[in-house]
Amino acid sequence: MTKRLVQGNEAVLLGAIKAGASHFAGYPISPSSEILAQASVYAASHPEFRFLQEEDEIASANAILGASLAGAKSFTATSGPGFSLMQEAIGYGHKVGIPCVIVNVMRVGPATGMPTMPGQGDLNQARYGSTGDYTSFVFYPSTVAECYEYTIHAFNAAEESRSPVILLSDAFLGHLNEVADLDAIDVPIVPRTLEPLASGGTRLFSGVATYPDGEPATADADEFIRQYNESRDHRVKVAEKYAFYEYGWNKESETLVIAFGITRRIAQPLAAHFALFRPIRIWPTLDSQLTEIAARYKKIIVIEGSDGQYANVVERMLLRRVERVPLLGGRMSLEAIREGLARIGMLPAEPAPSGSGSPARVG
Amino acid sequence: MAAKSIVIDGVGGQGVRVIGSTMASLLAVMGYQVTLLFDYDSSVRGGMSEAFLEYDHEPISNFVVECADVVLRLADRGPNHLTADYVIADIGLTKAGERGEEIPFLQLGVEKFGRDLFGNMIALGRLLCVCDVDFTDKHLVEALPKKYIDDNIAAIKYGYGLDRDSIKAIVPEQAASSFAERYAERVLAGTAPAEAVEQAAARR
Repeated sequence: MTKRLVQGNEAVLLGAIKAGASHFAGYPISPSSEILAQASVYAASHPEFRFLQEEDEIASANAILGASLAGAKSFTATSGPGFSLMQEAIGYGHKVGIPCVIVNVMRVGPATGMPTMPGQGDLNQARYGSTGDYTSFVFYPSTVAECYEYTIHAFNAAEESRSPVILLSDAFLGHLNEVADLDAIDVPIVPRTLEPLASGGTRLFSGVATYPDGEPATADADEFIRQYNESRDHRVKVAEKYAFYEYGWNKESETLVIAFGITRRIAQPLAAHFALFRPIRIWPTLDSQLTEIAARYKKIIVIEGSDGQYANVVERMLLRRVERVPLLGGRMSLEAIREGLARIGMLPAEPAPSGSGSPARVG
Repeated sequence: MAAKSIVIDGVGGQGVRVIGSTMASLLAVMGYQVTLLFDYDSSVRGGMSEAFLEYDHEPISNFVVECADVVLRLADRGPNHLTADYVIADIGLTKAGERGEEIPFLQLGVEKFGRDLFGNMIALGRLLCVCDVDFTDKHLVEALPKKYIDDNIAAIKYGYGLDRDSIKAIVPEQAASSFAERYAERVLAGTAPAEAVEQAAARR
């Protein structure tokens, strides 16, 4: 057992290595750059681990797709603007079925925005950023230890679903140093599922709709729907194994707070006043779990670092009104949460006792 | 006082990260649960740079410090809503109504150890003393980088050994000024640290 101070971004890299990743390609961008920097240092002493500093994020995303097709578990790390540039490649990865992991350490956007400030505004981009319909796998940890753990799960889910998987983090979580015992985290590793190139036979990696024999199927709706349903059903089935969430705090409260990533941690001092639902798997949404839990509560509040991206999702899912506490401009603090609760008339009358305790999870 | 939440307030390049990382490593070596968050502006030099450090024997959930037990202020760039029970500041940086003390850390670094950088370790020593952290030499050796380890340990111990009387002797009341701000201006303008200390001190 080795407890030591670990940074969130470092834990992501260590999780990737533990999961068997052997190829990183990336372009530096705050607040994710430590992952790239430490990957380059690791590669210098581990020749089996390949590191590519690319000219931009478009090249980075395509490089990890190529590396994956060639046989490597591969990944990249970026932040909002770079994640935008990767969207075309992510769509290609979904179409062709290429396992890989893309880490998005979120900052305040849009565009360059506030490069070092924490945000949670890429939830929709992580789900809908590329063109067409596809099933996104997205995880969002809340602690440094979880950064390690869910990076491994992300690689596993990528292999099982044969698709790009997104690991969300943020500027605070990425730059947070925390005492953790990563050796004590035991997640079974899913072995490589995609045969490498030159394994024999002919394979087609086309973004164009094609028949299994490689002929274009660009005007055949039936074939498109058959392939789309097959892909979607497979990924939804795989997702059942990764239904990670936390349900806790004061379950007897009349109000359920939904918070995830760092907002869950900052909101901890409110634990005595509210029940908590924390989705760790952000996409696909945890419909059955949240629907069952939410039915026990009169009110629902979503506290998040965007202007209602997840609140909108919950409202559509549950078909009922959801209160919102948006934390914008990187102002992630208990004071900001309390101000937001006061605005909607939900600030607890008694001073909230400060709470501690590590997030617990189920799933 | 047995402090558990610390904020180190400064500007980029001033040593906020060094002090924060070293203290967090020391506390981790001592068996504490520790969270250390660096919050900084995009500007690398001259921009806001904060370290939020919490430690306890129990796991820590909310790692964003808004009501600090102790603030170590090397420059005044911290969030407006931050409150502190006690402030340790370089010269001229305490505010009206605050409970705290002023010590010319950079100046002491040059005077006692030959380089302004050791002022950071003196500040760390004073911070550890105010927070009542009871460390040993073994803890320090384990927590500190090997480079300059003897000088760093000596500087930390010097800072830890400062008491109210010795601080008063170092900083007579009439000498209180914006030494640190003037020093930072000189260094940013390209003046060598030792020279910048002299120039900042000469303008009192």
